[in-house]
Amino acid sequence: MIDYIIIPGVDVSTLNLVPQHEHWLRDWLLDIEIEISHDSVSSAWCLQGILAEIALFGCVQTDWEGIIRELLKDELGRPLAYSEEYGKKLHNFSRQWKQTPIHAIYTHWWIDRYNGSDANNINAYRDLITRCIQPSGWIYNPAVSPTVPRRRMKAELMLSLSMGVEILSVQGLDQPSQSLFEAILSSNLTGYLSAECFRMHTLQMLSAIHLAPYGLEEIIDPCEAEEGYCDFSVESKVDDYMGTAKRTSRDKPIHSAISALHARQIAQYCDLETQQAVQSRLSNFAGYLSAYPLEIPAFRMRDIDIPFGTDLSPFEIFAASHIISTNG
Amino acid sequence: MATLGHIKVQEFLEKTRGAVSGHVITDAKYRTFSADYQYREINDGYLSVSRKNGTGDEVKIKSEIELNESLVSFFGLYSGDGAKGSEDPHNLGVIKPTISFSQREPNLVHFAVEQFRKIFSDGIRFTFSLGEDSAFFMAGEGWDRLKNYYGGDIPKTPLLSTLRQSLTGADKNYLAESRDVPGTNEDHLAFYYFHKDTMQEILAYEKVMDLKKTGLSLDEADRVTASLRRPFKKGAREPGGSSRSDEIYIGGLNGFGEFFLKMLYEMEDSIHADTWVSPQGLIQWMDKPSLVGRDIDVRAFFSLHPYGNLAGNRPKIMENFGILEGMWPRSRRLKLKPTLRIDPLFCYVSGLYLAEGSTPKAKMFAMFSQKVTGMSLAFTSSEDRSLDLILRALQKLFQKDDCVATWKIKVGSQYFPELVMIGLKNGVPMLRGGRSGDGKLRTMEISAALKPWALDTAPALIPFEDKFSHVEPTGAGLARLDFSASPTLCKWFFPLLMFATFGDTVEDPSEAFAL
Repeated sequence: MIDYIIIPGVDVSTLNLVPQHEHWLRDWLLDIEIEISHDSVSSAWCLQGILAEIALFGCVQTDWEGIIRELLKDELGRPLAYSEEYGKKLHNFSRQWKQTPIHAIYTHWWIDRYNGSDANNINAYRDLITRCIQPSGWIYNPAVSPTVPRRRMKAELMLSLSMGVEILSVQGLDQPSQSLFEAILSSNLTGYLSAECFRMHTLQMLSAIHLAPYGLEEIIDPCEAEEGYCDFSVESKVDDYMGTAKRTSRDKPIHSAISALHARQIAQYCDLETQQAVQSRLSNFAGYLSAYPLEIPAFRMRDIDIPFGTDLSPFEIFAASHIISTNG
Repeated sequence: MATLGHIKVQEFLEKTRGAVSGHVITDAKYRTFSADYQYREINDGYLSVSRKNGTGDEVKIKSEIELNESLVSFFGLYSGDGAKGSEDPHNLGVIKPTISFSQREPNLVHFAVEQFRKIFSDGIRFTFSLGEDSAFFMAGEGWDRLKNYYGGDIPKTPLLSTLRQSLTGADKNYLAESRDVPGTNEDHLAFYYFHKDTMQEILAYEKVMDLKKTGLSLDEADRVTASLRRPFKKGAREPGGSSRSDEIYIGGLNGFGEFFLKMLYEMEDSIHADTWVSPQGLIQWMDKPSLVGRDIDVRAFFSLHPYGNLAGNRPKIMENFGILEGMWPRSRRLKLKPTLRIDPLFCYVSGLYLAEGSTPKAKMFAMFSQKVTGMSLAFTSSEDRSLDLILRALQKLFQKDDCVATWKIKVGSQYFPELVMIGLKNGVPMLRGGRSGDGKLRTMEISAALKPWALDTAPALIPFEDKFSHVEPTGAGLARLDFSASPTLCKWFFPLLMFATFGDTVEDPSEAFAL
């Protein structure tokens, strides 16, 4: 099975892509091929490129290892999130392109593992992660983002922790680390499907599902949006600091195939009724996506009908095709 | 004083049979407004205008209002700091405009009052209102003022239960909320009730003194009030923190909000489109807006004019092959256009920048009489129209490439969850910058994903596309666009901007603005 943490339960090696998704992925690969020919590339692109080629052709078609080796390693061989040319997409981003966040370490580790890399290489990743474990238990690289945990995004904390624990778990965790991670994961519900999905993924790896937060099933319903699920409930947005409700009457939740997979993953740890409700919604969503395979919109800023950020992405495409083929 | 055009009040009301309607996009929301008016001629070219349905005030206004530089600048100022109305909760998408103005800087308050009086003559009255979080008085400067008031010893705050036998709904909500601040909600609420009147008195006195210093004379009907919010309720996040808001409410104009907004937007539309007459004819310029107004010889202005003198300093100005180059002491050389027309665009933008520009207002007034450091030129808006006007005005004086050094997208906390999701779609988590997370977003994928949104929202930034730097998660509210120019531009742009706004009324800014 070839899967990735952001799209739980999707095996890209057996994925049945609907024709529109296939075309979309081929176009996307062409677009980044042009970018890469100018040495502009990110670790996340490489990962998505590998997954896209496996989904489309059954095997990798591009020398991603060569691209990574040449453009996405620093002088000490550490994984970089971006190439120098990619960094020029932003004016005055200067040397900030040269960064090694947890997701870059994880992506490189994932790709090396897929390529059957040797144990020494794996140990190097373990060392990098170990140096990023904070006294609080969260795993992040303060040289990239020094933000205090309270102001960090919950999905980021949970995802980076999950990525870190997965790398560390290959050779087994010592008891103090296990206890540290368990303690930090015993925190309150976040209200975000992604954050809870990543939390549960980590608890699963730690064999500590019993530490799941109380009321996990309660976060799923409010995140229903359009035909599927959104990562968060628009109505529940509150000011983190003041605890006051945000004015959200003009904000529109949008459905995301990725979020639908997160809801399904969380539901596995909930009661039967919740599982059935999520399954039923996913079936309907599959019907919708079959009819409109590319209808995964971007957010909008209130009344302004201009896409606010990404709509479709390779991960949304993988997730959508998976939902169609497994729930249709 | 140059006449730039007129507001044709009577002609407009005749043509539209009193119907006023329009739409606005503010805070990324589409909203409409409408009202029906009637009028009768009174004396000396004045009209009495009121709503046909009999509600509201009878407003005395000239049948034709002359537009000069300062009045056009005032509308720009109102566009930034003035109230556009609040949404009718029973009729979403429709606004009920009121005429009020948010501004703290005393010289700008004085200026706005004068312009309101110019438009509405003698039938209006002003209420100057100051709001503050009572946490301001819990430490630091506020605490010292409280101590002075009590003569050195602040009396101990009694328990809430002894101060309030019964609590209001707002009190109960306040007590139920949780905040990461020292002390308990009960103690904070007790402090609020115990010192409320005193705190109000201190602030109202301060406001009166501020206004007096500018030479503003208040009429008998004018009022100064202060109101306190419960501690840490909005803005202040630590004892001594401030969340001050200063408002001017204009009495005697009930029901006239729609007409006033119409004036504002007709003016903005005609300036933006550079047409001599506005869409419904309410504003009529003497010619195309870009062709009216006096021409300023930039070299002469900075060599001789009182507004071109900053705390005793003047720049060196050279001319090389027809191109003007200037340099202020301790600054760098900059190319300038030799002539600047103080046209409606420049006047309107002057007011708009004074209201919404990122430069601290106090510095813009102080620069004529004292050395001011740390000046910057930056502007934030969620609307293309405002950005376009400012960028066009800057290009009247500077080379295009000098007008924008860098631009970014600021996103308020309300939309952080959306940013997180955009990151996940691209396979990355959202990493913030700086300890507090308010710095440059470290995740490039999210910044790159939002750039097309910014350019679609504000095509005015397309010529500066390559200067996009990052997304900055900061503050609250919707996503907005922020550009900044080199600080070198400040000492050229600001004197001319101040001249366009105050040149009619203030001869020597080094004296008048030295409070």
